[in-house]
Amino acid sequence: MKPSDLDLIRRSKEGDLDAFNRLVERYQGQVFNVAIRILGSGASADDATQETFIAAYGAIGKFRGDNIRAWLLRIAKNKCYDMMRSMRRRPADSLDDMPYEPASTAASANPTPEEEAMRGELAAAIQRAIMSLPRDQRAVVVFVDVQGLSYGEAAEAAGVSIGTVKSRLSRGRRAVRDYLRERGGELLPPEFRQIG
Amino acid sequence: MLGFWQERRHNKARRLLSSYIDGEVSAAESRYVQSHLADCAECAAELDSLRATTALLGGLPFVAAPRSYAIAPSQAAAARRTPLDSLARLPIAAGPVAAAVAVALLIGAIVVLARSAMPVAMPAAAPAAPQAPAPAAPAPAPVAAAPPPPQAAMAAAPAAPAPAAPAAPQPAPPAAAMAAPAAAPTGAPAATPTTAPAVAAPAAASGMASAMMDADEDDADEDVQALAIEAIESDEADGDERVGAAADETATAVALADAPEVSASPAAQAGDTATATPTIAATSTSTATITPTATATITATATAAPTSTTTPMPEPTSTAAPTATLTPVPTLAPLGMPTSVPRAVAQADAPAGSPGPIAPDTGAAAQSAASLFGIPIWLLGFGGAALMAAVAAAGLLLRRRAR
Repeated sequence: MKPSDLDLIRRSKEGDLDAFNRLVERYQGQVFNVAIRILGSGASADDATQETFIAAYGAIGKFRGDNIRAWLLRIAKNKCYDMMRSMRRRPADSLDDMPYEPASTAASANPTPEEEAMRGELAAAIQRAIMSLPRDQRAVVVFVDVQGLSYGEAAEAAGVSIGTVKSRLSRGRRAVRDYLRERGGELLPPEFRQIG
Repeated sequence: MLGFWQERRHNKARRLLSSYIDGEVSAAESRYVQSHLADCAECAAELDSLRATTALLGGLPFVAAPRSYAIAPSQAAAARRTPLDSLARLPIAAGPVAAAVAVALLIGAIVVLARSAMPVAMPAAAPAAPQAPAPAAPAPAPVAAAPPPPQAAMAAAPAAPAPAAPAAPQPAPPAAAMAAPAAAPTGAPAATPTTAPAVAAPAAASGMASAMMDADEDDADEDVQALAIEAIESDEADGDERVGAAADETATAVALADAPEVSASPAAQAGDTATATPTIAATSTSTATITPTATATITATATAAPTSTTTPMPEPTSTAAPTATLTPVPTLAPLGMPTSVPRAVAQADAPAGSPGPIAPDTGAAAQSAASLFGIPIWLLGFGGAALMAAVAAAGLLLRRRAR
């Protein structure tokens, strides 16, 4: 029987490292994906994910609540912001120099090489559209549209109100749409290109 | 009007489209959007484009984590380390070493501060020598008198056209003589238009003077500032319409040893009625054994009618420790010097009006150097050492508790 999050949290607060690592295994995929979508770099996302869990373990005693995922994603978002700031200070390591290339994805089964190439290019175009967003809109779009969080959970993870989530999401979606319309070209599905 | 309301409905529905896609709108809002979509093709197309965008975003592949991010015990220990723990990791000698370094830095800073304060007092008297030969007598040239107390300086300004005949025997341009020697409001001759002509006369002749003085027990800076001086005076002592002096000048005298200058910039103007409105703001900060700080602010207004009536309205505000005894030393400045740094030198134990050079009181300077803000250096050092020792002891205690 899988222990619940609350049980693992309680044991983690008592210093049980194994219990915390069970939480890590449970949520490291989502944390890493949030980081890689916000940062656009696999190496930076790797660092941000590791720092997120280390920081979470250090602060698990202060955790109050029952949604450990939103709490972890909030830490991850802040770590990503820190890394973005450090990247701005070091232009050599900027995001443009390290474009995201999906090395391993859980893609659909048995795609043809052409389909896989097209899918990869489309994913890269969408990722560039996400990267064009301001960071606050980017985080909310990643939380809701990429990770599938509810508005309430996204608000908790972003540290804002639900109304702010709605407005940031609305603007972010329109910005992504406009970006893809301008630069997506043939990569976009036909129904997308015909709209508007 | 109809277009306005339609525009409002359109914008409101458009704002709700994104949340409408996710079902994050109320029932009323959902009905509102649906009714609007039935009539607005633009919003319907917008809705479709947003849906396609969310589908694209949601279709991004899930990237598998490249490795496990499980926390190692060493990382866990580092993550839960508190600043107190970090203190415990310091070597045992870190506390005393840090305390010793802090004490050394403190003592060094004290010595540097004390030494930096010495040269200010020493050379301050040197520039007074070439300016000294001017007697306090009626001199045609502007004399930068050294009216020690602000009261005296303030009184000197309106004293120029005063009916006290001996006070203004010369046709010197009337002006406002301002000197704000802080730290020594006492011991100076009481310069009033009637009782102290010896002081008022050179002050009137000088036009304007701001002075800096070097108290023998002060070894620190003295800043004297004379601001906004306007003096128009009329002298009818001989029944003749006299020349008024209008001096509008801002003079600042800083007690720097190498800037000994006397300023007098009288601009002569003829007028039946003269008004003198000298405003003197003088601030002096001195570090002395007795008087650490003195501040004097003087405002005086004088109106001289053709009948030589003077109406001084001084509003002096002076806070100065009266312990330092200063005597004005008139100094001579070249006539017509347009702008300069006015200075007066006040020297203790010197006779009033003595033109002699001022010798630095090296003994007082040495005594001042041995103290800082009136506190002996040895006491400061001892206090600093005791403080650092207390800090080191506290650090050691915390370190033991952390363990």
